[in-house]
This record gives sequence, C-alpha cells and structure tokens, in this order.
Amino acid sequence: MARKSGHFYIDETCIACGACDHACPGKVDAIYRVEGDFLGRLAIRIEDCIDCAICVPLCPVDCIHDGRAEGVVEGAGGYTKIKALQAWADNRNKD
Amino acid sequence: MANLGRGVTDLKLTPSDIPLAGDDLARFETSFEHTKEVWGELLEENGNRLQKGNLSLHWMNTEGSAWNKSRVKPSSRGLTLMDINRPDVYGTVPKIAPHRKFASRGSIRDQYLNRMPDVSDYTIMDRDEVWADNVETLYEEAVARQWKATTDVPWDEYEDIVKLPEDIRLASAQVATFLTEVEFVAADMPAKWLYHIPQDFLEVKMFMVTQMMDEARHQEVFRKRAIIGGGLLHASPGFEWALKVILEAPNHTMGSFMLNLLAEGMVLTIFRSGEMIAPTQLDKEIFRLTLQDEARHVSYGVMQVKNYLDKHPDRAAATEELHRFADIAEQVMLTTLTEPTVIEPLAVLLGGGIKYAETKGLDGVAKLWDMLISEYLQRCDRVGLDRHARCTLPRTAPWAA
Repeated sequence: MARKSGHFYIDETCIACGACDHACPGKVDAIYRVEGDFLGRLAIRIEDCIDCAICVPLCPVDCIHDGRAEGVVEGAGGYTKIKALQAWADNRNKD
Repeated sequence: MANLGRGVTDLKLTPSDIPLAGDDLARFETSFEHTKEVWGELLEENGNRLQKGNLSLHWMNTEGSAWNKSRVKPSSRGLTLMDINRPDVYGTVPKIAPHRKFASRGSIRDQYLNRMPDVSDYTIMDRDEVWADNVETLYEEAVARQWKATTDVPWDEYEDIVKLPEDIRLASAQVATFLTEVEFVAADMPAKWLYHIPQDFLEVKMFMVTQMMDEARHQEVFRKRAIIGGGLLHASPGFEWALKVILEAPNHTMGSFMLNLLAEGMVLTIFRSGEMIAPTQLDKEIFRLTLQDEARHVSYGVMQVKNYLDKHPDRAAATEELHRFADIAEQVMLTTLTEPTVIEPLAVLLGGGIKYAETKGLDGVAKLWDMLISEYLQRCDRVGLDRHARCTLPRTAPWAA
C-alpha cells in the first residue's frame, strides 16, 4: 500500500539557514534546497515527509506550516517584501 | 629514584627569545606557583609510576560512565551531532554548567574535579544566555556548506567587472569595501564570548567557530572583489559606531541581538537583494554564496534571543532590558543606514548609474529600506520582543516619506 504523504510545507519567507534540513530524520531526508532559487530557499518533499514536525520549532522565521491546520497559504511578513523589490527591478528599465 | 617533587620545586621557566611584558610574565609565574602543589603532585605520581614501569589502567574502569550503555548509530547523513546527542548522558545540556573545567560533558570527570584547574574566564554558566534550539542543526549545516572564496567564485569572469562603467565599478567596489569593514565584527563578537562559554555548552562554541570561519571567508571574498574591481575605497565612520555597540554590548544576548538579529539581519537583506544589486554574474554568485552563511547567523541569533526570553525567570524585566538596549542599537543602526558610503553606491547600482541615482536609484533603496525594517520587526516578533510601537527606525526611507 502506498504510504500517505506528509502535510508540512515551507512558505516563501524561508531565509535558507538550513536548520530544518538537518533536523529532518536521516532516513526521511524530505527537505531539499530548491534548485535555481537565488535565495537558496528550502522545500519539503511531501511524499517523503513523515509529519514528525521536528523541523518546525527550529525555524527562525516560522515559515514551516502544517497544511492540515492552516491550509496552504502565502507567507506573510517582512520576508515577502523582496517581491516588491524584484517587481520594481523588473520594471526599472521600462520607463 | 629521582625526586620529581623537588624537581618541580626547582622548576625554572624556560627562557624565551620572545620578549614578554615583565608584569605579565610575573603574573603567569605567580599563578603557576600557587597551583604547583596540585600539578606538581600529578607530575610526581605520573613520574613515579613510569619509573616503576607500572601501568595505571584506571581509565579502563567504566564505572560512572555510559560505556556500552548508549550505543549510537550514524544516520544516512553520516554521524551527526544530533545522532550522538540522542542518549541523555551525552545530549542533556545542563541549565547551569557544573564547573569551569575543560572536560567533556558525558565523560568521567567528577572524581577529578579537585585536581583540575578552574578556568576563571568561563563566566557564562547559564545555558540560556547562549543556547538556541537549532544550534546543532545549524552547526551541521555550516560544516556541510563551507565554500572557498578562492575557487568557488568565477573569478575568471573578472573582466566583466573591469569593463563596467566607471560609476558602477566605483559603486560596486564601495559596497565591497563597506562589507569588508563590517564582516569581521561578526567574527570578533563571537570570539569575545566564545572564551567565556564553558565546555558543557560545546555545541554553541562549535557553532560560533563556524560563524567566525564564515566571516573570515566573507572578509576574504569582499576584499578580493574590491581589489580585483579596482581597489578598496572609503571607510564608513557611521557604521563603525554600530560595530562598537556590537562588541561592547553588556552581555552575550544583547550582543547577539545587535549582531545577529539587527546587523547581520540587515546584511542578509542586502545579500538577498543581490540579484537586483549585483552588476555582474560574478557579483551575484558572491551574494548567493554569502547569503546562506548569513542566514545561519541570523537563525542562531533569533532562536538564541528567543530562548533567552522564553526561559528567563523574570521575562518582563528581561524584555524591558532588551528594549532599552534595542533603543540604542536602533539609533546607531540608523547612523549606519544613512551613511553615504552605504546608501549612495546602492542607489547607483539599483538605479543603473550615477545619472539615475537620485531618481530610480533612491527609489530602489527605499524599497530595500522598507524590506530591512520589516524583516527586522519580523525577527523581533519571532523572539517575542514586540518593537512595533517602540522601534525608532523610520519605517520608510527619509527621502521617500
């Protein structure tokens, strides 16, 4: 029988410190760096996640969530502001 | 049989070719004279045993240890700190360090306490002045992600820097210069406190050493970047006052707040914006590499200050003290944020040249400012220090208000 997937996810406010990565039990190893992301942010492979939640309290920006409790939502707070700078930079030479 | 006790009594310090200040040497001599009875006795016992050809083998007595009781196994990542800390005897970090010795947590040490020297400089005896719940995983991450400034940056593309317009080249060299000025304080500050942390909190000490190595590499990479791009430019007096506050903070937690949460946090914000600031791919790669190191330092600082407040027996008083410190820290940081050596080159880089610095450039820096303050307040929220009402840093850049 196929194992059920986990429910935890990392939102976009991740600062890429990696504390969660090494907290994930070795055989599970569900946390990975998103390839090509300049900010080096991490993500959870839900098919590997076992919902142990060990990673959650170690996050300095509180960006790891239980999708069952909250639903998948966009992160909020200061670390979303980079989108404004990115959008501004994309448009700065169009004027 | 030689009388080693007398030998010890007659012991003369080996003359040194290195000139030492007389007072310092005298203090050293006096100190070891005072303790000679203890270490001289050890020397005599050891010498006697060896002369008799006897072995002690007392170290084969495992009573009082966890020998063979706590087998640990490596995980798929190898043998991590978390793996070896799984047994309580090794992984339980005491709230108060039991002594000021060098001996390892979990070793057989209590029976030797009166024969070991005290390290009086180990003064941070309360775990919660330095501990963070993520310090072990951050250490593992730090060790796994070390990189080399000499070869991991595509320096063979340096001609892209040389070909930049003069104003962009100057601006990028000035940013690199200011970063060389700030990076070493993030090594000095942990270095200052490292020596005051006893061995029972070894994970914190180990993490601090990685932070120092990270900062040495950042110093290296930004110094190389400035020099290969034309040269180092101007010092930033305003920034130096913030650095001084970091080093002279009254205790480790306040220093950690100022360094890791406020200053490193702001440097992290700048590095995260590297895609928009960097004029070349080489510069983008430098920012990409350094931001992951900075993120660990911010992560430790946030969780350490949080732990300090969470565990403090008088949280209200501790919070107010931290607020008072932050009142000063924010003002000196404002001195930094308004420095021309910081704002102006960023405006030139974000605007795309000196011609656009006062228009598009300052507009971009205003967005950066917004991000700096918002992220700082978010970090304060995370540690349980609500600065929203008390923060003296303008939420909006002064020219954009």
